[in-house]
Amino acid sequence: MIPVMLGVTVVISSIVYAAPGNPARLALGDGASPEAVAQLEQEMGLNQPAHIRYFDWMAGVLQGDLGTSIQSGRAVSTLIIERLGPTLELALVAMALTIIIAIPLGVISAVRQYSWVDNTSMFFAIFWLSMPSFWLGLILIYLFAVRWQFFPVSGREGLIFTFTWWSFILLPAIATGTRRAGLLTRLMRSSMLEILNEDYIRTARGKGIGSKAVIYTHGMKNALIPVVTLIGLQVPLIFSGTVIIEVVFSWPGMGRLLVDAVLQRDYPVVQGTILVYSVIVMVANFGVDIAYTYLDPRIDYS
Amino acid sequence: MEPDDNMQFNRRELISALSAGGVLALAGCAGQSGGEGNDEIFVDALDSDPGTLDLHETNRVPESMCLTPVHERLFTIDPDLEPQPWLATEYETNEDETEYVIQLEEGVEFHDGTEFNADVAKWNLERAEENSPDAWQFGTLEEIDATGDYELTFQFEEPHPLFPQYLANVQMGFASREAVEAAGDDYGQEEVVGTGPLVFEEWVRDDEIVYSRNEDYDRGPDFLSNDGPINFEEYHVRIVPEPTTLLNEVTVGNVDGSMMIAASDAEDVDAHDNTQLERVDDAHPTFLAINVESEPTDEVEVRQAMAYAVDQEAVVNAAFHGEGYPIYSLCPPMAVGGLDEAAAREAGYEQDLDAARELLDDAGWENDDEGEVRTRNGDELSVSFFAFEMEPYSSIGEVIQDMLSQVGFEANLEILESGTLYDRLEGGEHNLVTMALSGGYIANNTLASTLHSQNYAPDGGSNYSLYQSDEYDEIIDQAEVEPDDAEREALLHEAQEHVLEEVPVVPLVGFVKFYAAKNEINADAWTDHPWWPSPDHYNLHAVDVDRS
Amino acid sequence: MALLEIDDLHVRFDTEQGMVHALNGVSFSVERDEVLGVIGESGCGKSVTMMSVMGLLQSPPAEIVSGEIRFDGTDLLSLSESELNEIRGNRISMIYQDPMTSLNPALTIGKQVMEPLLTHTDCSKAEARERARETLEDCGLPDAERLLDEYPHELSGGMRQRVMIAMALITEPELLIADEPTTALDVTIQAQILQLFRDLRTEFDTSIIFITHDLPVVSELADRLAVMYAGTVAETCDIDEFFDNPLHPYTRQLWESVPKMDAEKERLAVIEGTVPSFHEPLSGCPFASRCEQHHGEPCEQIVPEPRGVTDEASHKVSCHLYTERSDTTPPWETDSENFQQKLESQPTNDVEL
Repeated sequence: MIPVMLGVTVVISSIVYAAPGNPARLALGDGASPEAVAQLEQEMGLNQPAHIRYFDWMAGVLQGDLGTSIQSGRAVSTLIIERLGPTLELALVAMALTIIIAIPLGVISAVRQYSWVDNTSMFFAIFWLSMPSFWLGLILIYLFAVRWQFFPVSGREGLIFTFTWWSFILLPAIATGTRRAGLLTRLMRSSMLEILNEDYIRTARGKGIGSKAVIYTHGMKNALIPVVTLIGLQVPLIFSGTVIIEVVFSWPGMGRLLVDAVLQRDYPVVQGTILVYSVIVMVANFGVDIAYTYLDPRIDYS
Repeated sequence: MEPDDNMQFNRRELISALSAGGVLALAGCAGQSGGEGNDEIFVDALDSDPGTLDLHETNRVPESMCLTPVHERLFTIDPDLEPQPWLATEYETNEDETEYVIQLEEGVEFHDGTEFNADVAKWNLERAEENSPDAWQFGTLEEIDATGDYELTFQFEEPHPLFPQYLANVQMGFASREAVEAAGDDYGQEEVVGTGPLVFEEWVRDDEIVYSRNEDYDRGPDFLSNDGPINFEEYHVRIVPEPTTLLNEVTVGNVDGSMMIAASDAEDVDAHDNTQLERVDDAHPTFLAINVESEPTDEVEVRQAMAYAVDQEAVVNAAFHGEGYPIYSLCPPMAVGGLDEAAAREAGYEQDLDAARELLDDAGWENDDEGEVRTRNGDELSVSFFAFEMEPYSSIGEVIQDMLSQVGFEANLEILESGTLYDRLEGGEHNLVTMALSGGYIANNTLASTLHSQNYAPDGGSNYSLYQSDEYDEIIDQAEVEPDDAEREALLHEAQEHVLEEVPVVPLVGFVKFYAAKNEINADAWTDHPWWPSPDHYNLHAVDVDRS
Repeated sequence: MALLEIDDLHVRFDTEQGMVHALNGVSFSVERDEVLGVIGESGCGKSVTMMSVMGLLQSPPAEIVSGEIRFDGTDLLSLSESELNEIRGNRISMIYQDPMTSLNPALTIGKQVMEPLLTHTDCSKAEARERARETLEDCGLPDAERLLDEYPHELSGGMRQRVMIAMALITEPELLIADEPTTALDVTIQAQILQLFRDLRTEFDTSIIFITHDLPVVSELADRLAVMYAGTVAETCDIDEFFDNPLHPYTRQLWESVPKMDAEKERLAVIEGTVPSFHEPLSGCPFASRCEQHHGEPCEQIVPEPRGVTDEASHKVSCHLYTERSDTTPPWETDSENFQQKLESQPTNDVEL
């Protein structure tokens, strides 16, 4: 895991440093004098060569210091902590919605192959997937907040898990998550179909335990294995999806910080947020590995 | 309670309860939902989060708008564009305007209870001079003295006639010294303390900033219809970055009003049943900056031909959805010192394709056919043209490209993200670039920052025309220190005529600002100040919320 | 009344390659406390017949066209899914061919063995666990307690087959169907499993249908035998009759194809010809093309019905040598007692059909 993280930081830094644009000039704005720009460059070490800046930054990271924002002069870790919660909320609810929609739908599609449920879920899988989440977000706002006014337009309010909180988070979570749900539904379906042809499913049916128990007790765990793999692969996509959704839904998360930092060439903030995103993704993948050992007793990491 | 609001609230709760399913078993009581249904809350919206709320550290628009109601200044600008004392009571200046003696209001308290006096004021202004990106507004300041408990004396090396105007900007406002010193680096992040009509309460990053009313406030400028406390208890500024979302928030959502509506959405807000829209011409110009150093735009004939090729009205329609007004001088007529439209058209250019072609022909740039790119000695009349990757600039780029090709230019348009674009401008890689100035309501400032050789772009300034003219610099420098208003205006007109002759820029369009608000907001009061040039004069004061 | 009666069962599969007529009138019955051996070549319909009994045919593509399967007097084919579920796994259990794939890799042995009991009886989890442990021990699995919490991949093939058997026996079914339970196992394990079946026969009062390729196995376990060919039953008889008086030409040729101890160096006798295509319904005797006693029109055009021809009422054969449709009579005695002596030798142990 450590080498991967190290690689991630090198890639992040080289991309960021390679981008044109002077962060000091962007930070100070139009009217800034050349002297002020030079002074800020000096303070921020921006006139150092890229590899020196990288090692300085890395040395800080190892001591738990993500550096200071060029734009606001505040600690990057503070900026991230202020926004980490909303981003995690959004990603987790999106993930949960995806799973809650995709898995039952996939199972129904498999069990009732070529039924209307199956055909409809196929249609939505393709439809959703081909729809940019930005666009989907705007459409959801238009339909559910503007036209029917079931939900507020945007923003984040209320304590977590309260009615208000749910009313604000549902649309952005759907916009982030359901695109992925389509693919997951199809995979769940094909995985379940494959499992339903397995000999042990026939064994289970032969026990007279009823088709629900056959599917849920015997089919589910096995069919979930490839699905969990895909969920693991989708974690980074969900998080990258939240970046644009946070903008569309005025959701005060880390994605907004990242977008602004990229536009402002605020290198420390860009590096810090991407580092945190990659840590989250790795933690999620670790969670997927744990899920494997539960689903498939043949896998043993110890 | 009002029945409609009640019903909508219940429906929203019901749907979210259904959608959320079992998890809601954990749910506690519902939180409060913005300003909806409450006369005592006004919800405003900005399109980007401020970086800091330390008034002496910033001059960007969102920051200024967030700080204006918290910090009072010594002066404010009245509807006639004259400085009016605000925290000052009266002031005197010597004949050549190198010394100002300003009397301060007594009995003013900061929101933390500390006293506003000459010492605190001096400390604040010195802090501004040291830190603010707008520190140039102090000109040749030599010294600030507290010459009494409530008296400040300013000494300048050169005359500084516009000082009272500058002192009206929010960057020249006052914060509690005690609060600033106690908070250290957290000042402007966790803590903001001024003397103004709103008290800073909380800033949830990228989400909203919350203020409460200063109940004791009684110093509103005379020309506003309300000079007492603000008409609502809480002021919320929500951050809504996506323009379409902002449109929806303003028309049907819980945002009460905003001045950040995109030009393309203005008509929708205007036409919507729930909302009203005010359009106010702004002194904020867009123009083409022409690089006078690189070929072929180093030739004045070529630049003049460009000016003749441009149709400002067409740019307004194509790039601004009709929500702008054509300008013929760099400083719009409403700017202090701006040339009036007739004079600008007289001295400058209106679209005249034949005149453009003739100029180019005379300069030896020729073509056989109108659609063809002109050449001279085998060189093509080709210009590199940069535009910002955002509206209206990218559309301006496309429209202008087309206009230039009509007279035989080949304009190689590149639409670039701003970081990249600025980099390439400093390298002088452009012939043409779309530009705009924010907040330029005083002609001196516009003319200096755009074309004075002090601001030469390769040195880090904002003179992207790379224009260097001793004659021009001298007029501007003189105008900056000319105490007599009429004289100063004459100098500024002269400078603008000089620009029209040399064409280092082509003026395009003046912005229109939009004030969008729900019908239940008394929005006429918002524009109580009939001239509304900058975020420093963002009048929340008279806004009233009446949802009945 | 027999415990299980299969009567003129027709099953076909609608596949992408066209219609496949898998069962073309299968009839046989199993009495209480009887072991019926079912033998036949691969693809002759043994497994399809058993799947039909269990209601495990996948439909589509399978379709039961006609026939009846009566278990204890109830027509299984007329039952709803839930009614059938009361019977299968409870009163009828099945042991499947491949123990490697027939156990669920994601569930513990204990859960899988206890499941039929928990489904069909009111017993508690603790009781079920105790019963599972006992049954596993009865099936010759030592350390059953530990085994209950293990997963199939931790067990060898032989152990898994014992688990499958325990799983089938735990509800003490009236009928146990064992579909080639030893095919997937290596020889020594096969022997152990067969020994287990022998022991179980004496211990449980269960009727068994034992499908196999293995003649010696059949001879030891079965009371009666059904010989299947191309989706039909060629002959059913008591085990002694099978050895002493095989009537169907196919059955006789089977015996003759078994290699003899004293003929090691000669080629194995082979039944010439191929099994008919299943794409068309039968239009005559399915064995006609390979039959040494083939005698023209009746064999080609009329499907022979099973009928008793000897004094033994249960000995039935489907062959035109024994019907009124043709005048031909078999070239061998129909009441012979000495067929085996004629063959001169016992078959070897590892004969497969």
